[in-house]
Amino acid sequence: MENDEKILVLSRQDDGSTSNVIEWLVKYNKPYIRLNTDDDKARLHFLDIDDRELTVSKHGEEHNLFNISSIWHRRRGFSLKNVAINFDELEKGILFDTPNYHKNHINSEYKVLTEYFHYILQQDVTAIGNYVSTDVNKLIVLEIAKKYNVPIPKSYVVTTKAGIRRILANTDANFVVTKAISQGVYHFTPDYGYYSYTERITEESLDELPDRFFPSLLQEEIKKKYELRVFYLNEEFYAMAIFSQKRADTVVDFRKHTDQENPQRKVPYNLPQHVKQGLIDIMNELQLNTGSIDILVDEDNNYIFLEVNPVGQFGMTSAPCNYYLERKIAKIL
Amino acid sequence: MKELATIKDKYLYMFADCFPVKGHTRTMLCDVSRQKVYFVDNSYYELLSVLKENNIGTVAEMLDGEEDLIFFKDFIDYLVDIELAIVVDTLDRFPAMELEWDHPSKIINSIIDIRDEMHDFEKIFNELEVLACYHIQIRAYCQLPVSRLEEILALTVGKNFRSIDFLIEYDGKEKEIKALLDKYEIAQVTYHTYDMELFDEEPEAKNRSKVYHGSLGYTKQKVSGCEGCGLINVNSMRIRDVKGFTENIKHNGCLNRKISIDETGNVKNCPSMQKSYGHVNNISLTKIADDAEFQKPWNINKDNIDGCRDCEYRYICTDCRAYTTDGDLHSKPAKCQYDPYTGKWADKVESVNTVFA
Ligand code: SF4
Ligand code: SF4
Repeated sequence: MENDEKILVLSRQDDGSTSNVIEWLVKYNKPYIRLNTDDDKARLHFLDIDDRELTVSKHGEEHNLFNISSIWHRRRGFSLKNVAINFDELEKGILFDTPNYHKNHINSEYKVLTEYFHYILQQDVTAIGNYVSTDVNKLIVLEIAKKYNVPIPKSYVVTTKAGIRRILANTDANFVVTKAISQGVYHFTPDYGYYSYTERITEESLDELPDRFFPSLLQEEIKKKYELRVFYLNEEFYAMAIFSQKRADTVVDFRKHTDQENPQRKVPYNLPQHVKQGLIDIMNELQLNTGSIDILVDEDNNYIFLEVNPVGQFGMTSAPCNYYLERKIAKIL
Repeated sequence: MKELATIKDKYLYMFADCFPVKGHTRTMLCDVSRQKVYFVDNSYYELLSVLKENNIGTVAEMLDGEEDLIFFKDFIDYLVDIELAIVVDTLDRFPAMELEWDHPSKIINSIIDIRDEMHDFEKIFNELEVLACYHIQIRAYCQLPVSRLEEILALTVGKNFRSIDFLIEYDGKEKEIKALLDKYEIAQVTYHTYDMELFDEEPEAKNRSKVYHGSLGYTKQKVSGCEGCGLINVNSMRIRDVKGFTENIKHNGCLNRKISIDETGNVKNCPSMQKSYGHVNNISLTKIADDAEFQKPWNINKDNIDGCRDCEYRYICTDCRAYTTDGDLHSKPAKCQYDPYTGKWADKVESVNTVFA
């Protein structure tokens, strides 16, 4: 068994940011174990709560995860794929009337176990990220922002066309914007990328909606000067301003932009001190020491907090601003 | 168009990814992210420096005469129009780009030349993997049987390499090569000595020295040895991204963290360099990569090169340290077609040599 202290990286195979950080770990000769949620290369063997032993093997090497020196919660890392399970069997319906019963049962058993791993592994070691907060509740986050007097967009959850009409009637803004309540759709298959983005809703586009629909988050559109993408790490801020107002097709959400010749302008940005303090308060309450924060700066220089993504792609901030965030993370671990 | 008076309390912010580079005859405004350059008179370089410290009204007061004020206003309009700058309330929020450059790999790219004898690619690849060198160019001054190519590519399996670019003499075996490229996604092939007409749907491709047909590249030029390398013309200018730009400011545009093996197996900074650090069969690449002498050319940036230091192209120019005007490590590339003191390119004709660029 390998007993040297190692860095535990909990991630997914397809996370490019993880690989970039690992290149720096290799350079600094910092040994690491990477566990991916989406591969079956790691195996869970044994847990002895009293004697502090949690054995996982990868590439033929056994590691006691109680000996790690630091942990990076990039993704969940552990999954059912780490334990020997007959997946075919799992897919079969065993109980006649509730076909998913045993599958749900297995999943919840394993969930308790991985929760325990996450909990126990981040005791007494340097940790970046936090397993309880890899999934934040967007609405609660907005609530917390309000509590610390950080401006947020006027937000509503609507379920009917009439509800939208009511909002439109009572606002100066011409339109409101839809957003995913949970994480936005962000899913790639070899041929397609699916992601949801913010869209305008106007009187005209209302016609296309059914009378009743699934609860949707609507936010009043903000007349922005520019948007900010802020990478937050241990109370340090790495902010980037994104100028995307120029062209009509990028006014609402920059992720839709595909014109390679004129990409949005992305430049380093200094946040004012009062904005930093508000963000520190929000992050502390969420028990997060890292995350990507989206902010809009409106025409009156208000900093309007939109959301925080605990596992945001910081590479897209690091490269244009020359921040070397991957190296910073590797140094902390 | 805004009148100057209405913006006199404001500042002009040139985006941090746009850099004015002052040369002897003119200034280049380099828009790194959009990979575009603009040329302006050197007096505007001074103007931009003053605008970093002063608001627009203060700068206007420094100028004398109606005419200068009109030029000033036109210049602001121009920069805003080409989206290199905007008018802002304060510059406090907009720091300059940090010019630091760093990379986790000891060696970033490698050139391996071959002619008659084959190198021990197994040893070479193993060592490059240890060095975390993931980009490899293999230049063959001869035809290369498809089986040879496959042998070499088979040795990359299980390694972290991201690109293997081959330059080989044309042999008409496109079909087999293409099948091979489908199998090894990291590989690319460019043919030299292609003796038929270059084909391409776009008519302007006729003026280009190299065209792509599907995954294969073609050039008519015969690449008979490493001495064909090192030409610098308009086509060899490169703007990649902020990281590439800062690398070029701090380090050598061609040789930084490069290790090469010439056709006889000598390990060098590049195959065209005189100095050999030993034969690849007898020495470890890792050891050479750590050698202080070997690393010296990595840090020769354009500010250390005669002539180039006065050239407005210096931060987007790839440079060449093997062929220099008086053989000195710090003199201007011998095959550079530009004269920074007159602002003229000697050779307006498209060069045949961009394949190395
Ligand atoms: S003078 Fe130097 S920097 Fe300018 S184009 Fe020639 S080689 Fe490049
Ligand atoms: S130093 Fe000159 S000859 Fe050598 S690889 Fe670079 S451009 Fe080519």
